[in-house]
Formats: sequence, structure tokens, C-alpha cells
Amino acid sequence: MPLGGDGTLPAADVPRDLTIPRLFLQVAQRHGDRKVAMREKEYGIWRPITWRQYLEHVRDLTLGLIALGLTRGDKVALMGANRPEGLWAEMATLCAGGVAVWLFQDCLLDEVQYIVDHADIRFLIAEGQEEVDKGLAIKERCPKLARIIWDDPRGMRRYGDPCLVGLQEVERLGREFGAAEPRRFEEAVGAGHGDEICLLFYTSGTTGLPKGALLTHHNMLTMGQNMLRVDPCSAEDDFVSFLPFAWIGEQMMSISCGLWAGFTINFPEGPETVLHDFREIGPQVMFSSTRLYEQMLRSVQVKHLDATRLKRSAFQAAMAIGGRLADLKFARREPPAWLRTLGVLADWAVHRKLRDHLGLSRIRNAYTGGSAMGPEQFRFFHAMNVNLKQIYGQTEIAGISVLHRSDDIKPDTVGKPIPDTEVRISETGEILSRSPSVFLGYHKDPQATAAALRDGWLHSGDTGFLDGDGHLVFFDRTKDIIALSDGTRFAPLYLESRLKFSP
Amino acid sequence: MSEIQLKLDDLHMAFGGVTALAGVSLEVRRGEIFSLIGPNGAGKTVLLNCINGLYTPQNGRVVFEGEEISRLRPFKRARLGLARTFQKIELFKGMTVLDNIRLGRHIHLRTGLLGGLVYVGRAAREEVEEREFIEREIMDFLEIQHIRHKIVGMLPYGLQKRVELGRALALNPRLLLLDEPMAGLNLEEVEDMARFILDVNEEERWRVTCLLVEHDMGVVMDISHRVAALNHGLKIAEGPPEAVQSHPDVIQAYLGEAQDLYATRR
Repeated sequence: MPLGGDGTLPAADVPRDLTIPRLFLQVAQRHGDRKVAMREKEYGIWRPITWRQYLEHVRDLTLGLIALGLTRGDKVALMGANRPEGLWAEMATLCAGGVAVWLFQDCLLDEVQYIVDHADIRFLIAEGQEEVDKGLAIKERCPKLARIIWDDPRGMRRYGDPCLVGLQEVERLGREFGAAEPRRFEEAVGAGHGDEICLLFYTSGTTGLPKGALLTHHNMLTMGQNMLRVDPCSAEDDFVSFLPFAWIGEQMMSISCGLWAGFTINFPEGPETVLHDFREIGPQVMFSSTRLYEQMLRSVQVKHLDATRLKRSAFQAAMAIGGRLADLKFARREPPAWLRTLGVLADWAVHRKLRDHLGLSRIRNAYTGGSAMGPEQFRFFHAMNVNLKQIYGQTEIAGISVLHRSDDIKPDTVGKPIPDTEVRISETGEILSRSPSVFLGYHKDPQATAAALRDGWLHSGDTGFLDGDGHLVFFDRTKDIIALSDGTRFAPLYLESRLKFSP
Repeated sequence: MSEIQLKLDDLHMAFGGVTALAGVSLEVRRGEIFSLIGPNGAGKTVLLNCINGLYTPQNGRVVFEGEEISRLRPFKRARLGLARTFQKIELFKGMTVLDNIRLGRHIHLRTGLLGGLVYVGRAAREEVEEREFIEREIMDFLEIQHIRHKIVGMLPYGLQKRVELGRALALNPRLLLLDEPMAGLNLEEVEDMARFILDVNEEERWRVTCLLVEHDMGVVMDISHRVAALNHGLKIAEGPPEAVQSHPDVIQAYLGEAQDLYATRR
């Protein structure tokens, strides 16, 4: 059975015992030095890392972590920006049989302490001084935390705490250990099972304490595969990783889909350079929250106001043509020949260049998720021929469960369930879903688990409905829905997103 | 630490009837951060100008690493390893950040105009090497990668200050003269700048001696090894930060400006 890559659709079912490390090892050995696994822009230049190098780093780190005392099932917290080292450390944690817990970089000290304590974290892998400081500050109050591993040496010259160890030192320990026990890495990778927990995600605790969602290898792998069955990716594709690893969306692209498809993951130089670096790569597939698309739209609107009159009228004409074509596409109607011709012209004269400026010149599938997007904004991207799709899902279902199909896009909906996924609406209007990717439950919280998981159905806490074509319409979080005095219920988010284009 | 790197001997400088320096002698040791404080018009900037050669003192000597440099032109002093930043930013505002920093690297280029025109062999190799130095040691260190190709005049003030430090560092200096690096910065920028100065001073890679003119007493007290106070062109105190701060003459000099002396943003 071919496991991803090569542009072929992955086989329909994922073997129950397949784990992320095992798939990683297969893919890395297959591609070796022939393919670039990731690129990082550093010192102003894109530096490639091949699959063989990726595998070597992961092998050394895995053995290093084992040498430092990591045992199967241990939780490892990770904190840092989107860099290759972050992904290596996560993959090494999984290879060693550990559970990776990503923390947001801007997590406050109290949150870090709560999560480290609640998840029984033994190792903290921190990117640099700022994250190390957080780790050292909570160490006294979190006695289970044994080691803090750091990576970026800047500002670290005066740190002498014995629990600190550098990432390079861990790799060195791993190489020594590997020389003594050459089969140890393969044994560790072979030891896991698909039903074991691989990731623990703490959802933001805006209301009360954060809850830790437990996801298995099988959850992550089935989710990635089912998504790729809708929109296949190939090993030739590029993806830009710039959203926090602590967000499930980034995990599903970099880990689940990344391994199945084997595409190249590109890491920008820094948060300030994302848009610039994004354009340099020109990815084929992207996934982002609504905010980035809104930012793109705003920059186009602002620049268009500054342009000369000729350019402005060309832009407006092209947008009018593109908009009508988009409307027909949404209605699934064939455009007349004259409009199609105008569309080609508008694309050649305006849209092509616009896409290039936004870094979307090669985009095949652009996904937006997280929060609702206004239909007008959505239409704008389709008017300039960017295949923007809504997705819907949550951490508890390993990322996404509902997605637009390329030939069936409605700006009001979030699309149809991905394969192997059932979605229905409860009597109270709550969105329920069932699939092999539904999580195991919340860590140390049987009460919340019982509320979210009933007879295998995931209760999302979101309100919505299914329209006549089987598309899911997402209204709002159930708790945000307001009732008028006459009993009519309405969703503020649904209304707000529809007013976003209004000045 | 004890080796004397810069020695000023009885410097006199007058502009018409105004005496800016009336016989100042100082010794800066290798590897230290030495701060100059004093009320406005005390002669601090004039002293820096005398050291890097913008002014030639009417009397007295400047000795840098055992060599008298009092009569050397500024560019020759730069070649000896003296770099500085200015109180009011003196960058080329119409050029990009990268070009400004490249300019600081200019004295390390060995290829001439002709070599640059032909641009093969050594000229091309040297360009790549120098660019690598700039990216690794300066852009990355000062965290200004994201503005690499931006025009300096369009940048916020705090970033311009950082670019100016970058240009001075591109020289690979042995002594860095910093004229009010914190002036006009907000609290966060001050903290960043203080960290950069400490890094430049302490990191094995740099180990640069710093001569700092600064009004922000919090910073001066925190990062300096030694401090000297000037008033009316005369040195009135010298020693460890706490001793200078509490010296009666220093308090006297700041009299009426007592608030100023303790002015700090923390």
C-alpha cells in the first residue's frame, strides 16, 4: 500500500496500528536526500532540509530524550515559534513514545504553570530565553518538571541551572546513545500503536480553566487522510507554516497532511516577514484563520485607492466581471460564453498580477477556518480566481470535519462533511459529528468528557443547521446565541460577519 | 580588565569664548562599559567628537591602544577600530537598512572600484562573505531582518537607532562610542537597546569596550562598570556608579535638576 506522496490518493483506510512515527520513518526513508522536507529562511536565504536530514535530527533527538530519561507515555511540553527545530522536537517526542503538548508562545505564567502541572509534564522544550524564563519561574511549583531543553543560545550565557540542557547537547547525547545501541531508534518507533495518545491540546480557557483534549495517532492520521481524499496534495507542493503549532490547524497541515502528502513545509524568517516570505514561496496549499485573508483584502483595497485612474478602473471592471462569474459558480450555473471570454481577459489583465502580489499565484486550495468570514469577502477571493474554501472543525475532532468541495462552494456555508464523517443536528440545534478522528476525551476531566462525548457523537457546543444540499451552516457558539423578547433567537457572529464589507 | 585602551590627556577645546573642555583626562579600560554623565552643555558630546576626530582639540592628547591619534583624520581612526553612534541619528535616510550597514562594512573591503566593476573572482567572493557577516552577526543579532530592504527614513525612530548601532558594529569595532543611545526610545526599546549593549560588551564574539554618554540614569547605573561626571568642561567625579551618583559635586552640578539626575523610566 502506498502511504501518501506521489500525488496519489491515499488508500481509504488507515491501519489501526499505524502511528505517526512509523509513517514518518517510511516517508523519510522513501524520499531520503532526493526531496526537501522543509525549508527555513535564515539570514535572508531559504535553507533546505532534506528528509534524510530531518530523519537524522529526529533520530538523534529521540535517542537523546530517551538517554535523558524519557519513558513511553511521558508528556513533553513544547513552546516556541514555527521553526524546523520545533517540528523535530515534536516528532522526536512522538518517536520516543511521548505525548507532545504545545503551548502558545504568549501563554501567561499562570496558564503555563496550570498546564505543566495538570498534564504532568516532565520535559519542557523551550525555544529561547523568554520561554526558558517561564519554565524556570514555575519549576519550583511544578515538581514533576525534570528538564528544560533550550535551543536558541541568545541571552543564555548566564544560565547555570542544572535542569537546563541545550538541544544540540541532546542531539549529541542521542548520537552517543545511538552508537551504543544502533537498533534502539527503530525499536522505539516500532513500539507504538495507533490507539495510543500522541497529542494533548489545551483549548483556550476563556471561560474557566483550559481543558486538555487527548488525540491518538489514529485520530490525526485518519483526519489528514480524509481531508486529502477531498483535496489531494503531492510531494511537489509547498506549504508555509506560520500559525502557532499549538493550534490544531497547523498540526493537521504540518503533521497529518504533511506526512501523508510529503509536501515541503516552509518556515518564514519571523512573524513580521510572513507575508513577504509567503510570496517568495507561492504555496499551492494554505490554511489560515480569517484574519490573514482580511488583511490581504484590506491591503488590496488600500492600494487600489492609491492607484492611478486607469489602474483603478481596470481593477473595478475586472472585479465586476470576476464577481459575476463567482456568483454563477456559487449558484452552480454555467456562465455564458461572452462572460467566460471577459473572465479570461480580466484574469490576464488584472487578477493574475493581483494573485502574484498576494503570493497566491500558484494556490490550488486556500482554506479558511477559525472564525466566520463575510460572504462578500469570500466572494472577493473567488472573483480573482482564488479557490478559497471554508472549513469547520474543532480540536476534539483532530482538526476539521466539514469542508467545501471545489465544484460546490456556497459562501454562506462551511461545506460538506469529509469522508468517513457524519454530521447531524440535535433537537436543540447543536452540531454533532462522528468519525474515526473524534478524540478520546479531556485529560483528567471525566465530567467534561461525558458532556462532549455521548454514544460516540461529539457534541460541539456550536449551533447550526444543514441546508437542502447537505451543506452545514455554522451559526455561532451555542452560549453566544441571544434570544429576543419575542423568543426569536439570533446569532451575533452570523450577523456581524455579514456586515463586514459594509463601510 | 585593567589594561588601558583609551587614554585622554588634558583635553582642551574652546569655541570662541565658550570653553567646552577645560582639561579633561580619562582612562577607559579594555572590556568595560564606561559612562559619561553630566548636565546639558557639560561637554560630553564634544569629548566624543574629539575621540573619533570630528573635532581636533586645541590642547591635549588622545591615545588609543598605545598610539597617539589626536591628529589622525576620522576615517583613519575608524580603521583602528573606533566606531560611534550619534545622539541625533546620522543615517542615510534615503537608502535601505542593508545599504547603510554595508557602508559600515566598507573599510573591510579590499577590492577597489575597478574590481567592483568587473565583479569576478575576489570582488564577488568578498561581497558574498561580507554579506554573510552582515546577515549573521548584525541583522540576526539586532533582530532587524524584517526591515532589511526598507528605506531608513520611513522607519520608526527606535528601529533607526538600532540600524545606527548596526552600522557601527559592521565596522567590527574595538571601542564603541555611543552618544545617548536611549534618547527618544520608549521603555521596551530602552530595554532592548540595553540588552544589545550588554551583549556587544559581554558576548565572546564581540567583547567591545563601550564609552556611553547617557541621560537615563537607570540604564547608566545598571549597565556601567565605571562612570565619570562632567560639568562645565571639567571632570568632577569618577568611579563606580553608586559612588559617582552620591558624590556631592555631582549632586551640586545637577542642583535644580535633582529630578533629572534620578530621572529614569523604571
